[in-house]
Amino acid sequence: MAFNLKLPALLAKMRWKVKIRDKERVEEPHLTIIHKTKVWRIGLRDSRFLDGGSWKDMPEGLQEAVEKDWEALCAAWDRMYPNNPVQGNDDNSDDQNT
Amino acid sequence: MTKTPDKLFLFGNGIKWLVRAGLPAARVLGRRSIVQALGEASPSALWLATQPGATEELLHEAIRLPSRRRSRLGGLLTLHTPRTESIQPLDDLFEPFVWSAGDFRILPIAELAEVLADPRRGDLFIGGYADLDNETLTLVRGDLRRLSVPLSMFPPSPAGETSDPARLGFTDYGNTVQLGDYEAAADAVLYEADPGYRSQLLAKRRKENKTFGACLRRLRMQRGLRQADFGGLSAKTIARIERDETEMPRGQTLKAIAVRLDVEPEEILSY
Repeated sequence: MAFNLKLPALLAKMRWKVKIRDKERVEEPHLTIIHKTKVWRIGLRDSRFLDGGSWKDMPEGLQEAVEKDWEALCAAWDRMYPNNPVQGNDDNSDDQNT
Repeated sequence: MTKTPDKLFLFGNGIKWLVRAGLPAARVLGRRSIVQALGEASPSALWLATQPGATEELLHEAIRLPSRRRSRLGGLLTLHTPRTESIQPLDDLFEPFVWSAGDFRILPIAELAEVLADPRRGDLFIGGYADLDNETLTLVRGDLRRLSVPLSMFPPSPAGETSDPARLGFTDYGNTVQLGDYEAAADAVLYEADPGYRSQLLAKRRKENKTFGACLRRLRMQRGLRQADFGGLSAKTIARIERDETEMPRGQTLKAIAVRLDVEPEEILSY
């Protein structure tokens, strides 16, 4: 089952969602913010917007809600993707070995 | 980006959602309005049939058009299985023509309307059906392109969630495919199954030139360094990082690169 962050009622009513789904693109650990047809992916390692965008694109309170539950989001990712944990497996072994 | 339909003809309910989403939608009901709609249709039009039997009425009138008009009717999506004899003529008349041989699942009409009005609609899934015998899932994108994928693309998650294609559904305005309680991101499916989508993403990243690799390359050149000038990291490794062929470096690798460039690790992406 996808991890669906519980958001304040107003944000949920405005149809904002924050999710980690059972099948996400295999890249660095991330959460996905969904609002209607739009999506923003935010890296759980460095809080970076992976495909562009910024918190300025979001309503007030969403960043706070995400940051408040950041650890729960990281824990959810690690539970769902244990082979690609937020803290990393080993230190960049794939590019060290090339 | 996909051009939104210049006309949307609906057989069935939900017209208010389509209009609210800004689509030039009209409800088609009865022979007279079908004839009128056929007169207004263009190759960029979209016909959406949510009520049974609609495609039969449509075919009955469309096939009577002069031949020069018959190839300019736009795309047709029907949520029902047409009569076997009607499938080929409908396929000749409408491009693309999407129909389901099984139980077609589709987004709720309010979400469907938003997707159809979105320039990114080709990257969102509006519906689809599962063939359990052949273990295949056919997904329909907002621009009516189809994508068939094996059900093996949705293995059980390490957390123990298994996909249930018999409970196929679509949500999050086409951004999520549901297989029971299991959810798959649309972009994950496209990334894995559509080489065109992958190329498009790569081209976008290159155009934006804001990847870690691009920033590293710019900064290295500013510093007048060669790829071979990174001590414990080989030139080949630096080249791969600059081409974004690896994950973003972290830990000791990132630190070593930053030290050589005389910046803090988090600063590299700002170049």
